[in-house]
Amino acid sequence: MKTEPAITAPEVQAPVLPPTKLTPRQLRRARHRRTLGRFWQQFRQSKMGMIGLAILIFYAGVAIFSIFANKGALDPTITTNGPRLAGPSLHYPLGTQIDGISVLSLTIEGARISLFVGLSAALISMLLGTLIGMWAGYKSSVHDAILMRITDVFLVLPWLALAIVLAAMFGQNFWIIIIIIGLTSWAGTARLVRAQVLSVKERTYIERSRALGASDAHVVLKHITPNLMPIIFANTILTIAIAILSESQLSFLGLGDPNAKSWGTLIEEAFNHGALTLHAWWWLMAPSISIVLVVLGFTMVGFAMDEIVNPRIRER
Amino acid sequence: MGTAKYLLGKLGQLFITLILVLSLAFLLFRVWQPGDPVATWAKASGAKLNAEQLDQIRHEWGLDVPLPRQYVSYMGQMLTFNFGTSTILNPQESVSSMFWSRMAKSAILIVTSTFAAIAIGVLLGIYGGWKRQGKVDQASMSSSMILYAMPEFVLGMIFILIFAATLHWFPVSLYESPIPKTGLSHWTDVINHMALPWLTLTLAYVGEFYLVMRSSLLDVLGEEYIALARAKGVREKYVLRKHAVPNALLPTITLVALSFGFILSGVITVELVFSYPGVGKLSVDALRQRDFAVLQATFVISVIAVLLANFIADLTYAYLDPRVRRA
Amino acid sequence: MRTVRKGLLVSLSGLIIVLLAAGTAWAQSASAKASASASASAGDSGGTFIEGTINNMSTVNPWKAIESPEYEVLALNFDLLENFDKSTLQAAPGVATNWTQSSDGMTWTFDIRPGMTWQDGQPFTAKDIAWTYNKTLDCKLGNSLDYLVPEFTKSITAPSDTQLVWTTKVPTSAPIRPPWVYIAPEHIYGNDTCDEISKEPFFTEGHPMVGSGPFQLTDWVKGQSWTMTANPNYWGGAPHISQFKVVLYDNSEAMVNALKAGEIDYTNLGSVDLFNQLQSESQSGSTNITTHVGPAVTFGQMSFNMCDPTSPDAAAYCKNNPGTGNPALRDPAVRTAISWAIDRQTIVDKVLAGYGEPGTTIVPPFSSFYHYNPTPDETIGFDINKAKQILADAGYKDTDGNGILNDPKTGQDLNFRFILRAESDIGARLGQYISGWLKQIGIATTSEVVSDGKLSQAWLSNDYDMYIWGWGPDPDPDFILSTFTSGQCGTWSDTCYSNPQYDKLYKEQQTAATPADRQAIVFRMQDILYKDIPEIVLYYDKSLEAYNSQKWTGLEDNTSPQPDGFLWNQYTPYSALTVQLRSGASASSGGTTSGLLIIVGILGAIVVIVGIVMVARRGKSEEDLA
Repeated sequence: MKTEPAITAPEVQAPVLPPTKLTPRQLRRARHRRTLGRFWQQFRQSKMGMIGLAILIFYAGVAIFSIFANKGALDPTITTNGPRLAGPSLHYPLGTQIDGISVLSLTIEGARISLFVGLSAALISMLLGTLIGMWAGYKSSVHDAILMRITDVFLVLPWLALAIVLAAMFGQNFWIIIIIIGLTSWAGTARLVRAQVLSVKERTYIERSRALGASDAHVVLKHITPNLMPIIFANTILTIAIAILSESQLSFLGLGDPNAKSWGTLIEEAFNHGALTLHAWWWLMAPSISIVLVVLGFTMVGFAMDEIVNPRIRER
Repeated sequence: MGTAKYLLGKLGQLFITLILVLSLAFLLFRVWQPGDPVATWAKASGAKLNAEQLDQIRHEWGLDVPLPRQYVSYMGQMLTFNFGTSTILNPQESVSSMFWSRMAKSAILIVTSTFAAIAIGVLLGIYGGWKRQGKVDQASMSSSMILYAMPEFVLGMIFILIFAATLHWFPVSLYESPIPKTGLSHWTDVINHMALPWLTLTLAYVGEFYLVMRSSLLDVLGEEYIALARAKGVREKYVLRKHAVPNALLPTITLVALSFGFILSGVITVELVFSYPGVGKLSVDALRQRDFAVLQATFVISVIAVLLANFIADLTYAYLDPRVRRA
Repeated sequence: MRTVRKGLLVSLSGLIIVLLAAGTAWAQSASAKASASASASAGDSGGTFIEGTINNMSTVNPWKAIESPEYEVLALNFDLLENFDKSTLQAAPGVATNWTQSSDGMTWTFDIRPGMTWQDGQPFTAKDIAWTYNKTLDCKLGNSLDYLVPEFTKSITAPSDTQLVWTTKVPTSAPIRPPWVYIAPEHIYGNDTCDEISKEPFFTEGHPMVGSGPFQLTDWVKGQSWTMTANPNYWGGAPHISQFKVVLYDNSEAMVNALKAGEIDYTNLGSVDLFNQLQSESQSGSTNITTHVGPAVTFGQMSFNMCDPTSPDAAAYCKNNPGTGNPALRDPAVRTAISWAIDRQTIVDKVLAGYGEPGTTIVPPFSSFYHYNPTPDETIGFDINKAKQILADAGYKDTDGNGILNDPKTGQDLNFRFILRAESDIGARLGQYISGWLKQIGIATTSEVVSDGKLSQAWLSNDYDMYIWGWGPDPDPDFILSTFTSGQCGTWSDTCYSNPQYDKLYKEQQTAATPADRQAIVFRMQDILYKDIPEIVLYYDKSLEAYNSQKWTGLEDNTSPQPDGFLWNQYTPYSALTVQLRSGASASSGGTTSGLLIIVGILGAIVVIVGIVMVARRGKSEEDLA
């Protein structure tokens, strides 16, 4: 896993109510739509963002396709005896691996697994990090101190060493991998969220809201969270990229789920069957390039979003 | 005096974190371990021992005392680097000796590649941030992103495919040739073998440091005091060297220290790909054979290494940031 | 002016780098040639035969050894009472030149070879043998205790230096199995207590291990390499080679590269694909390596949970740990159908890359005297339709239409928990194949890959349905047969199979008076297991060896056991005495081209160019420099 480049707080203004006759809810929805529309306009202008988005849409399509694809092609007891370890050809565009199974079929299947694991792990990481960060930032200093200590511990933990031990102990199925990655990567998000909450907390309209008697939950939900959403969202995109890289690392070490082969597991199989010495580069390259493209896609989209959401970069 | 207080504070935090992590290790390796370690070891190694002999081993491994006492002696053992004997990989051999013999090899690799990555990344980052959108910046930006997206073991395998398996410029794996050479030829042999792993690790992390340094410098360049300095007529290079870069370095150092844990995980997979006989490869072998004694040592040692790296970063921070010194 | 000086400095350093690179390259090639000529030996005798391995050796105490490299050293350093016959692995004359069994079958008299010496010069007599055996029995030492049949042995004595007498309580052929107990020198360890002798290192720095065999362990760099030196006074004749060395590698790839580079001479490979590559290179004539497919001494098995606590025959441990085994597996029809649904030949072809044989009975074929070949009409092959038919006939139907058969007794889907070992290279792949076939006959599996710790936990508590593991039995079938007795449930039994008839036969084969009698009983036992199917022997996997045939000869015509035996590391080492250098063999120079030096040279050239450019650009834009 790598660190993400710093994403700093946006300056968001207090909401100004325009003079109309719409209900508050309708007003809110109209405002959201406008913001999203503006956001999309700006995003479209970023070449990097659009390329990244295109890559992601392509692979999302592949992943969805894999749900309906022929599972028999992956079962070594069903596929008729294809040539083993054959290079790319007309019939097997990405070549075959050691059981004679088409690398293309495996890569398509792997798309679904890798993306699912990456997204789920990032979701857990995001939820955990946001909850803990918000709690620490909003609540009193005692809560803050304890939670930050715990966060620091998790920040410092070498995630792979811990992940190896957990996977070796509890078994190799992808739910465990998802939980492990989620559990070891929330600390960065927590820190970020906490910093945001701290700065937003002291804004005037928050004070006003509280003076009016609003409960904690109300303040958090209605005022703080919307301010943080863009930052959290950009951060989550980058977390997904890291989660996919982490999953590929874990699988490469042999801890992937053998019943649900991700790209990392494919690379691991290729490597352990001596694909390097046997010059079976196609078996290695198809899943590798896919990982790089997907991670690149998320990273590009994340950076593009960051440029929009972070006005200090925008101004330069 | 401010520095001393600052550093002592950091040292204290380090110690607390260490205790917390070691307690976690105790939970992981003693309490939550599935199965009876002695029975597992016996079946796996094919030893035909009877129940009495197994109990004897249980006593030797300190498994027949109540948990709280186990906890205390466990903490003592970990803090004195007494990791017991390997159960499966090298039966009967002390785990710490297995580690020490490989530590130097991994250390050379990690230290040289990290320094190279930092040096190149920071320098390029400064240049790229300064001449934003220039040719250097654009090229570095795209290659950094691609390198960032590439798992380091994929990078290593690409290098092997191209430079070793096909061009035969470098050996495919290992630390040195099987029949050891002597003198100067030994050192060139080692460097020959270390070249590709070193290159892989350096390139794997240089992209990240580049991006971090660049963005940090851009942040700083947007500050008011920079604009003031420029307005006063200070030369651009001077502005960079005396004002911008030192301030931009501070968050960079913090982030570099934070990413040390990830560098360590990168070392594990790179050593695997190159069969480089360091600590990372040992961990993978232990993982394959589920030798939990060695895995435990890997965990504890990597935690200590990351904490140390963070502490060194704090030291550097204290040196660079006068605000800390004055406090 | 400053730029000129700077520029010149830069160019100069660049030149120095290039010169250093060139110089080192020249020095390296010179030293490589020097070492090459040094290691090439003239003539047919002498030389060091080097083996590469990935298995580490941790002890050479003959009573504590477990791993294969340890046995390799012991087999060369020590003697057994009788040798393993080169072809059949039955008892052959060795230290004991002749033996007779009394008419009541309970006394064995061995003539011990006279004039033998230990490697330290002391005389070797029958008294050493008696001491070793009695020590083993008294202290209950080590893994080979059962070879001395402690239950039936009355006494083992040496009435003279050249005679050994072994008396038993019942007639038995156990003394000529042959007993796999290495004979240790009484004059060195005779005064040790049981505890002391089990802790003896037998080899320490500067003190070679004293045995009576053809080689002696003289050097051991722990975790790296160990060396044995030839014993010129060996009773079987002096070896041709002067030394045998074993070098430890991290993994198979590194080892194979060393073999190809000529840095080691022999290896026993675990990786099928690397072996394939070596073999195709050797066939095309591009290397000096010869590959050899050895005997199948290990097998892989799929075990079923046979613990049925409701059965009157259930083992005591099973009754106390009933576990959660799926009762459907207790139906022999289900197990038989499963066996018919597994294509063992495809497993051999695809997962073992052809280097194996489809499995049948639990005594592998290499133990040729005791391996039972099922008759054609009882052989179980691969037939999906037949498997389906067996299940249909036994009343299994898919009552809820989901493609999985239902147990008529409980109505539940047939879904078995299938455990695969993480530590096995092929565990997960095997599981995938087998799950695929079982799906075709309507049986679902829930497979998981776990560590041995979790598997042992499940196995000891009987909370599993099927799992895959393996064995590497001794040539003598006694131990592997014992694992199916009910008494081994909770210790070594794979399945907690419990069959009183089988238990009775086990006792009978232990006390069979002659090998021929024993063979008949052992055959019957294997047949019972083959029909009852507590576990399915999936395959026997062959050992894969490769050696430098350009440099060495004397291996391929001396394999053991015959046919297709091991080239090296045999049960009784025959090839260790016959291996020798080919005349005029020269060591190939190892090492790869130093790409590093190429790079360094290029970098140096770049630096030189940069320096020149700097010099050339002097005088321009000096304002830019702070």
